[in-house]
Amino acid sequence: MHVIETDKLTKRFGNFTAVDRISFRVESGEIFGFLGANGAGKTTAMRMLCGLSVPTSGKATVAGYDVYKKSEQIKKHIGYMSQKFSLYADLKVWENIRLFGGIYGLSEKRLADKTDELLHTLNLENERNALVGSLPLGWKQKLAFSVAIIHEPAIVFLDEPTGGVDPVTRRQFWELIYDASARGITVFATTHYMDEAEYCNRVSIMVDGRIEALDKPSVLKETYHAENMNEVFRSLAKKATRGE
Amino acid sequence: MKILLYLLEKECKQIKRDRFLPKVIFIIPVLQLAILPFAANFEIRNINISIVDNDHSVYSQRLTEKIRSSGYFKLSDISLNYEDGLASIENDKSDILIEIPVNFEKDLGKEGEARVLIAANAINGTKGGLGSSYLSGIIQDFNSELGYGFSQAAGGIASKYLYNPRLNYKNYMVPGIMVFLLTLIGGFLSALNIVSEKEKGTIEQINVTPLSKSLFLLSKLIPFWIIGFILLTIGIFIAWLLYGLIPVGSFGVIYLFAAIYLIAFTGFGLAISSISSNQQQAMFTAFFFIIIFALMSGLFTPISSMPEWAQWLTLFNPLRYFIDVMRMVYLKGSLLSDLSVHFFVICLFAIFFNVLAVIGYRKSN
Repeated sequence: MHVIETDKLTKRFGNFTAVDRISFRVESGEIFGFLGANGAGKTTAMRMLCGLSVPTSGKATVAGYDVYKKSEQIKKHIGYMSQKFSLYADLKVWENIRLFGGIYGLSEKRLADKTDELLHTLNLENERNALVGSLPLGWKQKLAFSVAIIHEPAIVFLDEPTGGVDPVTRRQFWELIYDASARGITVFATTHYMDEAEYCNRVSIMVDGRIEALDKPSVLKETYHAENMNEVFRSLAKKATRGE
Repeated sequence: MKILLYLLEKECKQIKRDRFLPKVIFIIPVLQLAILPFAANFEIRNINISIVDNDHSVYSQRLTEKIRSSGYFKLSDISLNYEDGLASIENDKSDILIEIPVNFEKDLGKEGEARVLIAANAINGTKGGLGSSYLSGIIQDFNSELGYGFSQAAGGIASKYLYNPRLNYKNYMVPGIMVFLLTLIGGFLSALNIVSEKEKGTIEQINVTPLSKSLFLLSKLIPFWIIGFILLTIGIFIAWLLYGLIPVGSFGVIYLFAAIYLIAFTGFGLAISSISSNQQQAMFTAFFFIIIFALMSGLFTPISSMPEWAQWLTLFNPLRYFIDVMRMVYLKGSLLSDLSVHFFVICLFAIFFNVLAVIGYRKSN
């Protein structure tokens, strides 16, 4: 079963085509890397799939729901972590967990358990009462990820989750992603780090709003006669005509 | 409904932790009610008067004394003749002059009639007009003390001021200012709220959840609604403390109207906030409307003296209705049954603004 399916999905802003007829499928339980240079249209594509942006044309379903007609249904089954940190900085760690758990309809009992479990996994037990704004970036990102999957969604969308984070924390972050994936959550992530691309089951590479390549990292490396994903990415991204 | 509680918990904590808001909530009503009624005062006092006394009699002395002790006038000079008095007005030393003619006392005694001249600088029309009418009043009073003039005559006019017998301007202003206060808080704070979530990016995390728009807006509305009630209560207390003002009518009517009015104006702020993309936009839009609402509400200037088209426009001004209500309840003791039209109209505004807010707030673009 495909949890995400798009067919010629397009988004235009005036004359500018941010996302140009992309068609792809994501399998259930997969870790799907969504790569592309800055301005290639990754975030726009992701926002359409999350129901934050209405497509201009094309078709797409997420978790079996149509993005035009059932965007509120989709929202029940997905988690989303935006590029910009977007938990409430003026709320404490446990308060943020409680708020989003509450919005997703978790019971009071489940919320309490989940909060303890989550703080334990993240090693944030001592920060339970700290304002989220006061945490270091890496911790914030891990917290944001955990909050995004607090309701055990079918899919979680991650928009550059590890941007600006140190290598050790990035490693820990990917462990969280593997955990989630092991629980059956499909992961759809954009990244700029090509070593992270290697961790994905499959990756797509977007150039100027179009998907130029999509396959397993090993296959891509073979196709482009490259040593690593970095070289694959560069040989594709140099075709880009869009500036930053 | 349970979700609403989680959201309200969030809003309350955020307001409590805000370094700015809780202070504003208490300082604004105190300052506004302590300062504005004095500043926004159309009673004219301290009119500079130049007296030209050509008679130098007992009567002319008495009239001069009476003018000076009235409390409205400040004697700027005693001029020798009309020309000097006029020069004093020209130099802006005086606003008004009164000339007492030669033989003032003699004519009054002999013929029961004498003429004085009043000349007022009408650049400031209100000051000139009120100055000369105060002065006429004093002269009339002077006449009746001496047994002349028409207060003795059969056709004398007696006026009685109803509801605000001492024509205390503050009694008129304070209830209106309370409305303005609720408008500021309801309108501005809520206008800045959603848009600040947009700027911080937190709204994205909300928009990607299945949370319904109206529930989210309701969670924004309720805290401001409660804050409005607190403000109103502080306002009523200050009005009593500083001005001894207690509503003649019932508190129930005031709070009932305030409840709906606050829903309307918080809705107004939320609508602006939903539509704007940053705080500056929201601020200017809210400012624009609130200034117009305030100027056309009858708070400072009577609506009946506006041109007809402007009077017609005030019908679309929520402030106008609530100010009316507050003045009527505070000074006349009007009942809900007297105010049914006002009630109906304010309800319409509440519905209109909140529907606008729900439509304006988009979870996707």
